[in-house]
Amino acid sequence: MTLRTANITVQLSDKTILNNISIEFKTGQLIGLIGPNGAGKSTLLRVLAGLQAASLGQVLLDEQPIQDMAPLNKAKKIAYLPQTHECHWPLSVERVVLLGRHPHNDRHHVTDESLRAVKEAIAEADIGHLVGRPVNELSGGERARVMLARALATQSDILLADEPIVSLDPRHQIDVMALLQSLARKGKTVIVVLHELHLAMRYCEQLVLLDGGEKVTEGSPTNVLTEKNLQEVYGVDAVFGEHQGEHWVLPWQHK
Amino acid sequence: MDALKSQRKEALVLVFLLSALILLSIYSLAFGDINISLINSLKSIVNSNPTIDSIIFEEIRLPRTLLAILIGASLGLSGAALQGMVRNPLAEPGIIGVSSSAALGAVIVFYFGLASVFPMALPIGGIIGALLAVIFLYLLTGKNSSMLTLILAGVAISSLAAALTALALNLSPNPYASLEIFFWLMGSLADRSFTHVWLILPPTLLGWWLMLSTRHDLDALSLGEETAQSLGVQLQSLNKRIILGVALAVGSAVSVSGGIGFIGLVIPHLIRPWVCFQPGRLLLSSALGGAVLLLAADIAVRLLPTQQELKIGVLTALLGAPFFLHLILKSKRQWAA
Repeated sequence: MTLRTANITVQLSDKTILNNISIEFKTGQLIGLIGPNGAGKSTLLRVLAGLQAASLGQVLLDEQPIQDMAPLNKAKKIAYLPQTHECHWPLSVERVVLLGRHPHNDRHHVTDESLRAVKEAIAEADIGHLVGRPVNELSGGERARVMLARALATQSDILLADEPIVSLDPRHQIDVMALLQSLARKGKTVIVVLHELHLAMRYCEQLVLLDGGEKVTEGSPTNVLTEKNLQEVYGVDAVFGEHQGEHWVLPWQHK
Repeated sequence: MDALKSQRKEALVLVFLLSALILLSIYSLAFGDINISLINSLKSIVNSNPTIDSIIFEEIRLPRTLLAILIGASLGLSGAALQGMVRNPLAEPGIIGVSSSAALGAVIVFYFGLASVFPMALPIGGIIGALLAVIFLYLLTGKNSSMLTLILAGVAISSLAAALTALALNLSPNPYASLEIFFWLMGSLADRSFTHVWLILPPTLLGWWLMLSTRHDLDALSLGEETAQSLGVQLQSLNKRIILGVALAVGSAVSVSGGIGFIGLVIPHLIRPWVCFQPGRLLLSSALGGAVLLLAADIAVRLLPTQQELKIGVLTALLGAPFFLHLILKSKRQWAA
């Protein structure tokens, strides 16, 4: 399943949020969308999910424009995890995860396949101990993992996640990034918006750097997260190093 | 986990509500100022040999009971559907201005004295009022409006309808007409006939079908609009089905019964824990619950030893308003915590 954007431009009330963005997302990779606040990362993710219409250009899934796809069919192929983890009723954890099966149309007659997908997603997101509890009583981090499990339960080919690790403690940040990486290695295309540059460097295979609605550059983490790019785009000086044969980066000070 | 597959708790609620409805229906048909034998009445109807009992049964008790069930179910279902749509347990059919506009439509019919010339003008006026409210709502909110705009537009329509109703009362040509409007606004199921049942049945059933068709999507909407859309829910179609469904069901209900409040608020709230808080599952049980509550209230107003029969709308408001207050205080405490 190939996903790419062709000359995406998004304009909202005369302001250009994204300008002529063309990216090819490689199948089976963990891809990070990075850039400072207001760069257009979340908008790009919403365009990919079909939640935000592009003013110009198209998102193509297997060369088919996603706006031409039937909503349920699209939802089966693309799962989207938004930044906010809203749940308006005190639903239990497993019922929230089950909602991820909505596109498969078997929600009210829970099939064995759905049950299996839900159990698998709960195990992958490490929330087995939360089963039975209402989501509104969970901490922010626990809730974030429940919502991740919900997105996983769809078993889509493409997973889009907007800052999925923002409210997690370091152990769970590492766990979730490792999980996303392993999902990518199993053939899923995983696209995440990230601010944690050290984890982007360590876990992503491809990074897309955005700034002011423009694509600055894309490529492997070591090619994107360079001293020059971090200074020019983020306005920070960073420290670089190597540990156990892997590169790391640490934003250090205001330039 | 396997509880996900089991639907025992929900089935239990449905069975309980259905049994309550059947028992209350029998009571409502048999007891009143005069107690009648249901079996004898049915026999004489089948044999086309009318007796006093069978006439009371056919002309008075049966339409009244059926209307209580239909209208109660419409109010309960509409409340549950609207609460699911706006994701707020304080929503109720009045919120989108349909109830008050339906009332206005009926009041206009009273005002021009059409009701005495042509009795059916009253329900028709109510339905037209409700539909006009929906059209206004769309004109005010546009195609891609947020939930807040929708609610504000509903409040505006309600206020306008209430103001115009007050104007009609104010300018009413004779005191008798004002009194008639006044009493009608209080809400009642007394002295209604089968004609009323047949008139509201088609729009009511259509409204129910529209609302019930959203049950899967309402569950997904629990996670917010963006997530629901990403799960394949078509939000505009969902909103349209619910708003039109509420207009048809509540519009026709109000036009026959007058204003009966709070059923759409109380019932979904009471039943929600029994369906594991799933807004989709709540719909059918709230319809049954609404029917049970309105039928019980109607029996109560007939039994209460008041000089004049208490209006059912007065009773539901007397019980519902403190409940509403309790809900507000409860949510205030939650916010404070």
